[in-house]
Amino acid sequence: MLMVQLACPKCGFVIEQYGAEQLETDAQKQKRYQYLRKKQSLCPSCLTQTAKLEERRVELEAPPQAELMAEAEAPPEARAEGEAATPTPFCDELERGPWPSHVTELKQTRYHMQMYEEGLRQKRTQWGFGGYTSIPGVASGILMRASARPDIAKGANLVRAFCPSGTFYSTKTFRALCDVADRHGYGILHLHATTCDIEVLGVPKEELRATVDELVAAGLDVGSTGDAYRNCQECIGPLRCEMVLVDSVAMRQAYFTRFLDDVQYPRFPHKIKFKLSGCPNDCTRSQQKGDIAIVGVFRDPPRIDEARLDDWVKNGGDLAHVVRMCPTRAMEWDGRRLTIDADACVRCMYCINKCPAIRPGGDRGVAVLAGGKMRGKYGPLQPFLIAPLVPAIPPDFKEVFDLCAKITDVYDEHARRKERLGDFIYRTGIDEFCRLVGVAPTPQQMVAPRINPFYHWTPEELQASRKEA
Amino acid sequence: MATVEFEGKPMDLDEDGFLQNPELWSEAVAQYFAEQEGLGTLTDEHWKVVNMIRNYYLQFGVAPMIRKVVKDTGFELKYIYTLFPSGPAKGACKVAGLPKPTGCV
Ligand code: HEM
Ligand code: SF4
Ligand code: SF4
Repeated sequence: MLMVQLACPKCGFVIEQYGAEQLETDAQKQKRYQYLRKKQSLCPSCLTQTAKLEERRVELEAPPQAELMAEAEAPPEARAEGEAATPTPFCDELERGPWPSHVTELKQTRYHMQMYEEGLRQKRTQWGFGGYTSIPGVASGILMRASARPDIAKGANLVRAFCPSGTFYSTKTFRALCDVADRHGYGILHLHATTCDIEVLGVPKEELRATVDELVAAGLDVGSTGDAYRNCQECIGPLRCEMVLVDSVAMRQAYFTRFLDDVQYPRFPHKIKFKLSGCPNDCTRSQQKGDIAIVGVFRDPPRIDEARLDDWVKNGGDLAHVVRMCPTRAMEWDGRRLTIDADACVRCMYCINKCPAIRPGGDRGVAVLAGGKMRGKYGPLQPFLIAPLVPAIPPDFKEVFDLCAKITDVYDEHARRKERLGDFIYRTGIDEFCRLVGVAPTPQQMVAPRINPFYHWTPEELQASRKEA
Repeated sequence: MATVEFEGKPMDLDEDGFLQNPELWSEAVAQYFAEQEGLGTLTDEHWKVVNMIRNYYLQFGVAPMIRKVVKDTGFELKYIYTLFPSGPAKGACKVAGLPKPTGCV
């Protein structure tokens, strides 16, 4: 097949390509091609600005048609064998290393290896755009991905479900989940995709209903696509972690108990992602990735266990270093007594992470932040702090979720279509937004709730901790 | 893109079965779409949603936000989904004779 490629003149990266025949017949393709020819582009590979793209004509081997046609008509089981028979030199290369190979695994599934093979050959994915779809009765939870190479594979659907809280599965549930993926999909699960969702990949359209029903029967709710509340990711907090300040796992359970309808029936201007972290270490990156971030915080200054501190220092703990690294210089250490200036301390968790004798203080609750995101009109945004300390009272965490519901109601009422929460707050201003939500302005809304001291473990420290374990 | 014959007149539909020319809409057309969607005979509740969407569209030229539909009809969103199982954007807008809404619902 003769292909027309537009490539970066410097590094040769192919930015777009069209079939030569297609380019002659398809008006839309022609328009795009003319546009790209004239436009100044930024090469995504070498990042040079180029005034003019280089045009190349290359003859690409067409994928072996006959076998592929046979494959498309064969039932799924036979299809897997058909795939294996088609040569995949680029993929095979990825099986040669000394490590376990994902290609070996993929070859055992019904995934279209030729899509991957062509993707590697041409250095760009052969899949097309993606989007949400729904089937009657399932408003949220189904995505589709179109194929840019319908000659190899038609588009595929995937079904999203929520993982159990704490990401602990019973083996029974997990077996049921695997069976569903084997029965209806490629036999591949994407486990814990961006928002901690389960994704069952490669489900044909006719089998979507059955897939959803079987997932629900296995105790897994389907949802988390479209302009709705999304899945809520929580940190493992109370189940494993010594830092935990609030019960993040119970809170996620309460979130679903209260908001399941909002999760399953899209109605908002855009998606709303929730993230829950048990402490300001923020292991779920809630502040970068959640439209609404709920982070465990404490009001009193960090507690110091004198006896344990003495022990730690005697055993080689470098307290002077910790004191020096405190981002606000709130600590003082005269070789004998450690004091922390409660007003200067920003509760950043650094000293607490480093020294086992310093523990989080009392009066705990959650900070609620809104508007963090990576994409959207104004690009990546750090969230705005809405309320610095909200009491987190189990079992239903009413205060926290009342505030969240209020935030999203204001968003729903005032935001434009397809405007992310962060963009909306950025446009209206935090003062106006707080007035609408009805929270009092506080100084903390203007300062960062946590300053990351970017502490990196040294190899020696890692070695030492391994020995201890 | 498909053309169907309705009451002797041709009617253009897009690939998802949405009406291309909103002027051709009538109550009989709505009933025709309802059968396509598998809704059967439209009830008063269906009509309340359909008329609300229709009037909003005639006034503003776009489909209403879902919040607006919920507020003006007084139905809960979940109930609207039971009335129109393929959703307010797909199902209800189709019956109301709107072109396919942009957006992803
Ligand atoms: C070439 C000169 C300067 C450069 C390149 C520069 C750059 C910056 C940058 C990048 C920030 C951070 C903005 C942010 O966090 O979003 C900042 C903040 C700030 N700069 Fe400058 N700056 C310059 C001169 C000055 C001068 C002369 C003053 C005062 C007389 C000043 C006062 C401040 C203050 C008070 C802030 C903090 C604002 C805030 O945190 O909201 N800067 N500057
Ligand atoms: S966010 Fe805090 S509580 Fe949660 S896992 Fe991380 S360190 Fe532990
Ligand atoms: S928590 Fe952070 S700011 Fe507070 S004393 Fe420790 S290191 Fe300093």
